[in-house]
Amino acid sequence: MVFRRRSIPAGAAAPGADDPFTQEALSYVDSLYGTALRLTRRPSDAEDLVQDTYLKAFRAADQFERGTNLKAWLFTILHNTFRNMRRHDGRNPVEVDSETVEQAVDAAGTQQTPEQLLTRATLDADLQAALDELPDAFRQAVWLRDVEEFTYAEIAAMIGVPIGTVMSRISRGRRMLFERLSKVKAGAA
Amino acid sequence: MNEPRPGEPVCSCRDLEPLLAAYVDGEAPACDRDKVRAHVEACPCCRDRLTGERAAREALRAHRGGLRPSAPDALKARCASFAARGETAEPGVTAEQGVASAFRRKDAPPLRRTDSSAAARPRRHLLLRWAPLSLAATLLLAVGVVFGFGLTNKVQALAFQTTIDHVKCFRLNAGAHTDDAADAAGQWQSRFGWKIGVPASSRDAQLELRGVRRCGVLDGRVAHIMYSWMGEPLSVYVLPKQALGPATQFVSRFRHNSVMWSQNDRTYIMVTSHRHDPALAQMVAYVRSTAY
Repeated sequence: MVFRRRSIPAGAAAPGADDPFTQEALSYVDSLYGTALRLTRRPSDAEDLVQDTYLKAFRAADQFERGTNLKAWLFTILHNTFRNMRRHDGRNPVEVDSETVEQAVDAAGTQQTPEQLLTRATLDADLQAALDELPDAFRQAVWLRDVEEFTYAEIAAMIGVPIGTVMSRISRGRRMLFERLSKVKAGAA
Repeated sequence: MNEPRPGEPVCSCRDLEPLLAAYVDGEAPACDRDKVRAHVEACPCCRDRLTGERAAREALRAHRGGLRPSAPDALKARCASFAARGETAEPGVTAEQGVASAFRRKDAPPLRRTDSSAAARPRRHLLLRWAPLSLAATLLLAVGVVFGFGLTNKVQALAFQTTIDHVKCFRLNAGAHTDDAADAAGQWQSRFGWKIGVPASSRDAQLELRGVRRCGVLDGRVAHIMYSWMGEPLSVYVLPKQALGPATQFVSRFRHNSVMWSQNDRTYIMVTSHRHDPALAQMVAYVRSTAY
């Protein structure tokens, strides 16, 4: 969908409830909430995050450029808001110890056996739990790619890292996820 | 992992790493595809890695629906209400106009949650929604006011910022209520790592605790304890540092009174529209004696 770039005069109302911009923006609320849940891991924080994303989006509607991806724009606001939220909480931003992760992935790579039955045999809950165990940066990259279907470039812009880093995180994140799921399967067998 | 030997494609396992995601996604250019294929033919480790990546990718895509929960109805209703109410940052408004309109809006219908509707969300915890973005314009406004009026004085600046936040915040959190001051204080400490005392509701003083939220002003490290006092909003802001002396200071601006002091490595700023009278002095004494 293509939107006209709008210019809202001072004090004028932001897009109303029937505006196509509003309608499309609100259609992504489930996606935003699911992503917010993966980021914050707490429903109350996820709700805060989504609520503030929409407040900011509607206020900045005039800055949305026509022809660009509204969903990606909303997700960028969501991630920026999340970073600010973390900063204010005094928690560490998303940090990745690349060396540790690499060692873990390499160790896993030597033990795993090819397994192609995961797709049908895996339960949502197992997948959810395995995802939640991934380090933040990897979970975020894999989620945005495989669940929300963003392009590498969109993800890179969203989370503020180079495209190569995004691709590497997706790749490693998937392998870590596979390893965790394999363990679940092995444990259940 | 295998290292390339003479005669094999010039591609090590490490070289392969950046190519795998795009290869698995079917987005790798032809030259990269050939490189990956040639490598995995000769390297069982990387073949397994590739298989694992594919399996994880397919599992995620197959379970997309189950992984993505529906947003709560109350949240959807709140988000939709932001557009319906035409929330805007009001670019171009001057600091003085902004302050004036902020106070005019005090009488406007509050941006309340749909507490009475079927979509109302059960109150699960005592800390109120944080609303820094709703306050972004407020903060800019406050900074503008501070510079516009040449207010370099710390006391005046604190009074301005908290007074504007007080007005905005009671609009956003209209209808909130809690009876458990100790639990609210405990939740605050477990979530933000520093201790606050939350003065409890008092029937004698007609003081009713409404909730505690993190406030977006002053670096976002401020606890905002919200009350209803004789039916009017009253705020107690707590900063986790000693910014002032122990003596009580009064500032009156924009038809609100701010009362502030420091004790126990905390700075307290009480904001109310109540006039400066003995009842206010009593309330200050109550907060001073029951806060951390």
